[in-house]
Amino acid sequence: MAKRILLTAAATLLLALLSPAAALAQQPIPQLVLGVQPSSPVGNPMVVAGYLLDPAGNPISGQTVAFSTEAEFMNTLGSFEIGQAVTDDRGLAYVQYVPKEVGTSTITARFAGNDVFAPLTTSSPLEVTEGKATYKQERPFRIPGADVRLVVVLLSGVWSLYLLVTVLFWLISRAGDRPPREAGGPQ
Amino acid sequence: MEAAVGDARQRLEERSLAPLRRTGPLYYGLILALLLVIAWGAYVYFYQAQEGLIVTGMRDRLSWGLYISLFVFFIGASMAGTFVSAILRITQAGWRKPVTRSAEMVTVAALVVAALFVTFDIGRPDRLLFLIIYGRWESPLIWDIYGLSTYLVGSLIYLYAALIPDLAFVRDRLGDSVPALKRWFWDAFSLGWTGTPSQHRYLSIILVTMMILMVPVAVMMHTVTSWIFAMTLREPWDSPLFGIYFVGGAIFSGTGIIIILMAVLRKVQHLEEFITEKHFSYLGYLMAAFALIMIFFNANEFVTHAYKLRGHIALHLQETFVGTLAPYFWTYFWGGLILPVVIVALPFTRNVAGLVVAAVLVNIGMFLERYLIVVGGMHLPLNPYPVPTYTPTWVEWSLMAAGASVFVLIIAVMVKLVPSMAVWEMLEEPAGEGDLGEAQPQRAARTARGGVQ
Amino acid sequence: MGSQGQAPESLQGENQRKWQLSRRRLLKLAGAAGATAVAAQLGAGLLREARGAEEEAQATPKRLRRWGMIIDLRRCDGCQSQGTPPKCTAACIEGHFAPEPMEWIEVYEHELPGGGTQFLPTPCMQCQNPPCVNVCPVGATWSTPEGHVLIDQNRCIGCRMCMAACPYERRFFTWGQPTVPLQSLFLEYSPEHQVPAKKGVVYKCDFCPEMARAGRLPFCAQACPQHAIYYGDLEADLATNGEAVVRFSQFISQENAFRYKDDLGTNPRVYYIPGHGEATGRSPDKKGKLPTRWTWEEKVKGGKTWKRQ
Repeated sequence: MAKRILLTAAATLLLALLSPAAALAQQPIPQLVLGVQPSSPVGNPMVVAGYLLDPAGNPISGQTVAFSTEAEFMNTLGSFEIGQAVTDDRGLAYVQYVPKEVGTSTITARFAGNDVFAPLTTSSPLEVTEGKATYKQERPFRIPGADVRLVVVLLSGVWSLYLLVTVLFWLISRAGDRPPREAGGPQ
Repeated sequence: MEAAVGDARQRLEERSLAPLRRTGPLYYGLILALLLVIAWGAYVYFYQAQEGLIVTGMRDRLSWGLYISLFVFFIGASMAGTFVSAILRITQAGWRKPVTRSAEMVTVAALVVAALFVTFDIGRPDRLLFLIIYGRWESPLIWDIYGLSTYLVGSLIYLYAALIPDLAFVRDRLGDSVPALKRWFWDAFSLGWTGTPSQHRYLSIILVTMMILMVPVAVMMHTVTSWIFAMTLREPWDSPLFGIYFVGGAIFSGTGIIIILMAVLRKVQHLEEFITEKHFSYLGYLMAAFALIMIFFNANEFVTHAYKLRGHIALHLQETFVGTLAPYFWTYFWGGLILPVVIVALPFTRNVAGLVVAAVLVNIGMFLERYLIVVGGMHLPLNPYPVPTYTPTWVEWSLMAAGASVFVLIIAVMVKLVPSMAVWEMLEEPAGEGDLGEAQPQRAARTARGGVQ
Repeated sequence: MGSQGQAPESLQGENQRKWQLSRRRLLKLAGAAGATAVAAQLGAGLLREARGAEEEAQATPKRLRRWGMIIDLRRCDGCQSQGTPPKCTAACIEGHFAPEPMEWIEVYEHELPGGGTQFLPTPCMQCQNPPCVNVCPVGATWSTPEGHVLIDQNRCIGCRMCMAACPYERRFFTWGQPTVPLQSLFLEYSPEHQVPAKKGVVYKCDFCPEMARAGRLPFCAQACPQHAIYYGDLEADLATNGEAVVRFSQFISQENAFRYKDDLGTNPRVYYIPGHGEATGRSPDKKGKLPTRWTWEEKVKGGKTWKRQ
């Protein structure tokens, strides 16, 4: 969510303004290492992971990392959040991501900062290649066998009986004991 | 005794041949009047085709109206004909014999008119053939077209099969005294019938096949007609009851139409001796039974809807019982269901006049019922907008009159071409069961032949 | 060819047309007997069934666009703040030359349970189990693989079965010769571009498929001053209102989106995010919107207008 990211940024900014500038300057900048495979086919679930480490290389646990990506759709450029995760003992935070649009995009991880560490953003490119369809079209349930064959059987049954009856009409016309020529009636 | 039976036979033959022999000025007057109405209808139809359906009272939110109501009504009227006739033949009801012919005529005429009303309702009648060229079997409307064509062809076959011996009879009796066209018609369509045993055998195979076949076909036809409505997501139509409801209503109104037609024919063709009060009261019982069944269906429909009041049903019931549709509904309920039952139940109203009144009431009631189904189903707002209203315009009334005239015209033409009772069946009636007492089957069956020798 | 063989010939290749032509000649030969036609039709149905099964078996790996829409009701104030009739409707009418009184996207004012109102812009819901498509007797309306429900006005017979079937009241009939602007007569018709409007057939919102393919938002979404309408692709899982890009699935889940009359099982492609225009500062008690106007200067002669009801 672009909005949420903006809010977070604004909050950080506010915090930064309120706190003594010196303190901000003194805050150590951590490392955020983004683990994203460089390329993935559409519809393939992948893991987007980030390691949050302090400047010395020790893991920072219990901190929230937000992952987002940007996309262009119908001439509008925008970004949306993939998800958020909290770093574990190893400093690792990860979310699952299913890329659904072909093309090059950027995965961004953001650490909003805390009392000790300064905020940080890291990006990594992702090449999404062609793959299978992801959206499952909901198909209405169809009763097996309830199709046109049913209509064909029903109608042809009735109409073949009509045909039979027509043959019987012909038989009637043949079975009279007077030639049809005389049908005008005797004088 | 023998002489009396012979007299009765002779009178039957005379009476049934009389309308084919002579045509009174009244008949021509009727035909002229009908043709005038139809001509007016044709003019109105071309006006509608020119201007579009804007000349009707239908609009987007209530997009089906009088035409579709009449379509359903005439489909219903068609039911009774072949269905009643087939059921009576299957159950070997002896009293059916003077009844079946007029019933079958009603079927054929009503189906033609029903098809007519669909074409009135279509926005692009020039593309009517698309229904055949591009028809999708998945559409309920196409099921109805399959059903209608199947039922119409079947009814024609059934009507015609039972006609063959009568056509031969007419051919032999009147062959010389009529215009060549009529003579050719009787000659060609009697298929050289002379009543030989093998001809009788073939005919009985046809009749048995058709009478068994016509029952499911008729039921199918009316069920798919109801599915045009029941396959949509409109709340009042969304009912599993709909198929059987339509079938029941169809037999109900159709029986009424047969009673009316029989009374008219009886009066005009002086058939009092053959179509007796007994026939009317039997048909009256059938009609009353179906009135009760309709009450049962209506109770089922309304109680299940009213108990839950799901969605817009409260509004629907309010409109139906006390709102804008209430006059139609209560006329249908009291006039079309309760009153006919009372008329049939009371001994002193259970006569020809009373039953004709009951039949007319039933048909007015059932027409209102069809109107209620169509308009009542569409009047519920699907989005937040006020309840749409619908008033048929003069165009719709004109086309309704024209359609009804076509119906009467078809029957009027038919009764001048063929006897309006199944004479041959009445003549071969076994002893003790029918009107003619002890007529001898063998002699009677071969009467046509006997007549010419 | 086509979606489950239902696409009419105007969208299909020459092959289909030839086949239909030959079928028509076949009919002629058979004396255009109804029974033969029915048989041919059912035969075509059988073919279609077989082809449908085949298509499903193949399960094409090709990625298709699956268009959808999200309407953020929190941002929709019925254009009260603009002092104009709803601009989405106006833009749709301008863009499609939709004749009066058709509002393909219509803004309804809906009562809220605690009093006050919300605005509900209703385009065609582009159902994935479309009742209108199911009932069409001539295949004049069909569902494209991309999810658009389209109408071929050259095939529509005007029976209005689809209008009875549509539970959203999103189909419009040209009851008379419609009033259209003069310039619409010079445009080329296609089911994706329903101009100029003709008499006696059904019209509806087409979800602007041509524009979507060209990477432009539909007229309604472009025109919305509050950017309340997102147009998106469920396959790429992206949607945009022209201002921001969102992940379609994530957005509708996070914002508790609903589908209009979802319990009917029509499976619409239009999602709503509940609200009453609060993002524009609208109070639910501020009722009313201005009625839509058709403001073309030069209209075709002989056109008529009518009321929805």
